[in-house]
Amino acid sequence: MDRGLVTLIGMSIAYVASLLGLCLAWWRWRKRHRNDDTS
Amino acid sequence: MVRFTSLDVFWAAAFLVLMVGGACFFYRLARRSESDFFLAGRGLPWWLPAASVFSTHTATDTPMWVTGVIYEHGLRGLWYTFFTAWTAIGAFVSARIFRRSLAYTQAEWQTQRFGGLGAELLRGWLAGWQVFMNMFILGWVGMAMGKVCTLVFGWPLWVGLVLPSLITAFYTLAAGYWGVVMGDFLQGFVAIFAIVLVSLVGVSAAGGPTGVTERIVEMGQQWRLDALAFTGWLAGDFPIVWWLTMLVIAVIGGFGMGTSIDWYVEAQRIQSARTVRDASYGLWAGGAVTLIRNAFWAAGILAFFSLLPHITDAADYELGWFRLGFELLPVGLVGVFFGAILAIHLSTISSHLNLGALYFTRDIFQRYIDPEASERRLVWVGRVATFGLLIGSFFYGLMMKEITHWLIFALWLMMAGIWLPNILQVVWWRFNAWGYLAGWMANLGVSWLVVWVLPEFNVIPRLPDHLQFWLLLVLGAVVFLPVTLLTRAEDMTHLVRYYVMTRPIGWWQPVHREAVRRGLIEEAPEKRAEPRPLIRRTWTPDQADEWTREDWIAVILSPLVFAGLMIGITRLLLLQLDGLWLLLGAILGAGLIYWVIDPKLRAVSSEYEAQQAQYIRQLEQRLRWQEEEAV
Repeated sequence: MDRGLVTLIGMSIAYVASLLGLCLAWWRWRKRHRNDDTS
Repeated sequence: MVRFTSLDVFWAAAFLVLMVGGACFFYRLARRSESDFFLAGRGLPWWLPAASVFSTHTATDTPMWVTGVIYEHGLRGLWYTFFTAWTAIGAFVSARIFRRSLAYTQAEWQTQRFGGLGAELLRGWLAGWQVFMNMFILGWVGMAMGKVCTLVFGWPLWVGLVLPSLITAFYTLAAGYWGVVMGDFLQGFVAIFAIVLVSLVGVSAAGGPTGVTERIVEMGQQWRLDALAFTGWLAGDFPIVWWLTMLVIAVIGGFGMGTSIDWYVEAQRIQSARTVRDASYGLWAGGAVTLIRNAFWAAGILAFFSLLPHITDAADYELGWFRLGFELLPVGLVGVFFGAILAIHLSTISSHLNLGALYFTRDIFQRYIDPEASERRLVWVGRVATFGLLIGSFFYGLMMKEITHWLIFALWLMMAGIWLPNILQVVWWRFNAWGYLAGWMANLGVSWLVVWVLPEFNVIPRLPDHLQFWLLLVLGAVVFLPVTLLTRAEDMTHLVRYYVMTRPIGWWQPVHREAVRRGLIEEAPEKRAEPRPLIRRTWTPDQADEWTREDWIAVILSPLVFAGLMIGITRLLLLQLDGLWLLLGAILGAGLIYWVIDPKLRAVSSEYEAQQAQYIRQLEQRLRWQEEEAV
């Protein structure tokens, strides 16, 4: 298989894991600030 | 298949019981707290992290790829293994800064260095990346062990993947990082014994050092004995530009954090050391022993080449070191040799199980899911995460016979693209979370362009790896530098707090001035003290906090010492006189580094450890108060 395509697939898998972590951090940040606003 | 006698089975089993039993012994210490389960209570003397740094740098697949590069490139191949030299400067720069931060993980450090939403996003990003990475490495290393077990016992691949990892998980689950680091200490000794023994036996079987060199010269391939046999500036399979690029990546990378994939593992070892001084020496000694290991391997593999010079299939010659051990060692020692292979495997698996669990527990569970979790609950989550990583790695290992090649290459590119941001985040106060995050994001697109799209449409030719590195660096900078400069600098109060705590190297003048203005530190006590000797050997803690010429002497000498040790020992094993001079020079250089830097590291450590003890005591009091409130 083409080396470039292989790279793209390989990197994408790793980036999906990072994005999941980033989304979790963002969700927590919003939740905390929403709570601060209401209190 | 290799034939095991009952004596071999006895020795292999004895080593296994010693290594696993020794690690399990620390079960009671691990369950005390999160700090014990993941950092051995931050109380280790330098030689324990050093053994662990060496053991984690020695994975099951390491003998295969080191054999591959030496067999193909001769002693020039040693430079492929020189990436470990990031520890040469890292020991005196990044290790010192990271140890002072008290961060459990690199992800946690992001929220100390940067502030606000950007820092949180970075922490989540790095935590996700590291949980994945550790599962990936476990699967990849597990598959290498599967192949070794197929070679030795004729077992199906999955048995070699699952069985040794299960044994490792047993003590990693029970004893956490205490088990990992104590296991690494025992395993490190077993591994280095076997590496030295097999290499010497290999050289002896090829007619001794003279026999090896004469055979290679007779073949007309004496360039294999020269570590600096370049093929030109840009042309051939060993151009000077490749060598210089590799040196820059490895050596200058020591100023940053995360410039090598091994940084994340070693960051845990740095933080588990009892003082800043122990952290520095632990990383330095671990890196040095790793390069000495490569020197012994290289001599053994050159001997293997002189015996069997015509193997063309890489999959065959990469097993050269294993073949030397299994085919040349006498009855009994084959079992010891297999015990050493197990040791190498166990240390890698246990480290990555515990590290992946650390990122999940500290940076995902405790930070984003249950911030109020008790110490007992965190240790429990750490154990569940360890088990989860283990199961995930089995699926990964079995799935990715082909994908391993994709990811190894992809990982190299990823480290290349964020190499400069990883340094800038340490040395430049103005670099901010958005710039660093943009560097990570841009790297995916830029790598895709450089490796695939542009060559496909003939915009640029297909470039060798070292030129790709420079192009990725420039294109990445085109994205992250404008993002950094167009977004606000980090909050000054946040930066001052980080600066006072870690005293980073580099361009931090505005933050330094602000810290002085607030009365948190003194204005350059180093400059006020008159007169100053050429090499200062008595330090006050305030003076030792400054970066001075003593640090730069260590920083410049250290990579030279590493190179001298690696090349010198190999050449000496082949009875070349220049090897003796190189080795003597390296030993003298190491002594000089110690003489220059040790008084300063002692001064930094004594003052800082007192502050740290107070800080941790306050933290524990707060935790106890929280537990009482909960009751």
